[in-house]
Amino acid sequence: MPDEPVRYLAGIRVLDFTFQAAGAYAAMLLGSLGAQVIKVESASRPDPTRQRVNRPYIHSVFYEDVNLDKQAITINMKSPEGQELAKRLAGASHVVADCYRPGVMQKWGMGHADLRERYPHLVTASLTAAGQDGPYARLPGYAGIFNALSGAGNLTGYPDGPPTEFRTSMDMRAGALFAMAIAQGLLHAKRTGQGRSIDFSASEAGSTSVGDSIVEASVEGSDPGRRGNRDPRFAPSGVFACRDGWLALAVRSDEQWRQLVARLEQDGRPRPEGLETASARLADRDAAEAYVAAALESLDRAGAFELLSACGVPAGPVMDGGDLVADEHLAARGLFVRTPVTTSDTTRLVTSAPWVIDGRRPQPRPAPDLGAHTDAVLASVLGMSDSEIDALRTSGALS
Amino acid sequence: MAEQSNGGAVRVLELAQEVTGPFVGRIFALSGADVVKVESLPDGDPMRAQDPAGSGASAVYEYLNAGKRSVGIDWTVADAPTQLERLWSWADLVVVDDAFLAHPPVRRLVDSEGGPPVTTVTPFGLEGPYAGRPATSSTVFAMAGETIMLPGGLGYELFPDEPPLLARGAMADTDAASIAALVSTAALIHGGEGHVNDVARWEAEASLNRWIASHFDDSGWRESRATRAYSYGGLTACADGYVMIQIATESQWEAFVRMMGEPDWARHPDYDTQAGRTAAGGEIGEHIRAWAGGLDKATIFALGIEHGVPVAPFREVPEVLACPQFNERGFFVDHPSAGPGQPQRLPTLPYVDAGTPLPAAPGLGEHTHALLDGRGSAAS
Repeated sequence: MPDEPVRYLAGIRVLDFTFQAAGAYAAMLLGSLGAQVIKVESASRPDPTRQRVNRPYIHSVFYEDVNLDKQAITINMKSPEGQELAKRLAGASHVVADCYRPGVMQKWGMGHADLRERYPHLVTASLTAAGQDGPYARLPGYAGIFNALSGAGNLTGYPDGPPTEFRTSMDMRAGALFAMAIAQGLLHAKRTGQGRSIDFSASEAGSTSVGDSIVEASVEGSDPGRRGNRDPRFAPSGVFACRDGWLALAVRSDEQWRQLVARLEQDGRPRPEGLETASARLADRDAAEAYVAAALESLDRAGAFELLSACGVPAGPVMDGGDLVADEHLAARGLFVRTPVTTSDTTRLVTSAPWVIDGRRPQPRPAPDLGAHTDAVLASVLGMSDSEIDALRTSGALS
Repeated sequence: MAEQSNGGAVRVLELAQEVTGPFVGRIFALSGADVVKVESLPDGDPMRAQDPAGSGASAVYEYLNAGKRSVGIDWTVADAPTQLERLWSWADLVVVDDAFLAHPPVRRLVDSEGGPPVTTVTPFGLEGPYAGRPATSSTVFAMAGETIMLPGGLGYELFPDEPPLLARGAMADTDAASIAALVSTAALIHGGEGHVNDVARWEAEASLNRWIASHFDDSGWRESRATRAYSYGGLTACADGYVMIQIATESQWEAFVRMMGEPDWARHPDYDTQAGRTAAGGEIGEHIRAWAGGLDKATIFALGIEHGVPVAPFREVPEVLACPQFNERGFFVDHPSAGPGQPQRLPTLPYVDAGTPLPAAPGLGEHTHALLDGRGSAAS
């Protein structure tokens, strides 16, 4: 896939006050679609993920994972000059996104109402743990907090075990939905000429990810409890041991079961009796699952995946980071690519955008160094001269 | 509300069933779009028959398809391609899943030049060695790198010999819908004809766990449930359930100590730094468990909000539905035709000003005549 795909958001400018995982992932997705994303930090308050230095690089691995396709500038938001500069940049942008706790952007005169009054065309978007207002507005939040409040953690787990800690992925789920919400705001602005204020709750995003389960449970009026890996609609279903790890599967139809049994019979495995129908398998799911478990334990995951797929049975090996990087399908589709590390002569594996447009996948640009584009952005976006930029720097507004 | 400059709503043609594609349509419907859902006759979306409550009605179908119009197409009749082409030419955006790609007339239009932007949502993408293989939300989730990390912490301590965990319900399918809706919306912003957005559900979910790939590449580290635990805090049992305690900064630790009533143990000099607390995580965890065990979820949460500490109760579904914060923000709305076997409240989208109250989900083929046979405004 050598050619770049169409950049849908070319010409869109995002002034990006997000940091950590959720907001940064959202802004990166917009950058992957072609938007100019200008990440605003300061020397005293860089994105905290930069400082997760677990290798001899300035950039942490995680920082690079969620800050591709951006430019980085530094503005001292404690200075009046810095705040005014940020407002000028906002006026020249289509989106201002942030993930500060409620009150921080307002303190700088950059809350939703402030910006929309000054620049009605803007899409202003804030991501917080629980929203800008309401009884939980002061709650500081991370992925684990969103997960707990959302109900997602309580729904997943062993039947007699505790709830489950979804961690970084809950940030990223919120980030993907946040990016979508911003895009919807941009579409609205394009069609009406009016911006939009998006007050996004990461906890509600967690609930959205299990919306189907919440709806199911709400019919019954009580919490359904945790049920492990079994899908109550399908038997056999769950996670089964293979020779080299685990594999998930679900037999969804009698035809899939028939094909699977016929295939295993060719290998000498006796045909199980009385399990031909879905209702029979659900009634005696222990027997159906014991039959599958016995067949899989001598296979490796790749072989089992192929066998089950050939029978039409949905299946998937349980994979870790190493498995994903080595996978032939993802390699063929170019999901992972290497980008240069700016501070060394090495390269690093990163994950490209999770879409292919017209057969081509976007090639990410490396995550920027702190303030790497300050001068270039001020010159190109605001038309500032070198002397004007120097004056700002001397005043401390760019530190 | 997403409206065209001429006053018309964005027109979305949904050729999809079960969760991912319909959730994309749901996002657009909640944003004000006119969403026409094509269902294959005679049975329609299999989700209609899914019956978690044993009531004969599908609450999840209702949730995913509220506010849409339904057109039934019988793919065995000669007129089906013509019907499809009429709907296709009406649409600003088409969303297609693997079930509908299996119908040759659909595939032909996806592969044709020009026309509205098309977003395909399939398990593994349109191309590649696994393209066409079947999957469920759970099998995609398992492949995407998170199952191997679940459960970490207390869950793994208690059940080290059980298989790793799948997420409940259709989490991965729903996650993929976020990405598909994002790229679809971007295509509408851009305009232009003939673009095909290939969204693989597996890649969308793996993208959420991207750090495990880069960490493996960087250091050879393979994160798993055995290694996935907070040094202290995390999932913690209390008097009536569980709470999450996630202390990330020095100021949060200080506030947490105040929240616990300034116990003497917390002033141990070794605990003055994050590094010191991490090293002593086991003993700090013991103290926290002893403290939390004497309090209920509501008390701990109220203390957390008062002191600005990241703690939260693990909520059961009825508690989520009753959440004062969610309800004040209008996250849940009343179901327009709630009855036996139907949910009373439905989630909207996780941002204020997002939710458009939606009418009930359509009957199978309820709008076929209006859109295809009569003078329905949409297809005329």
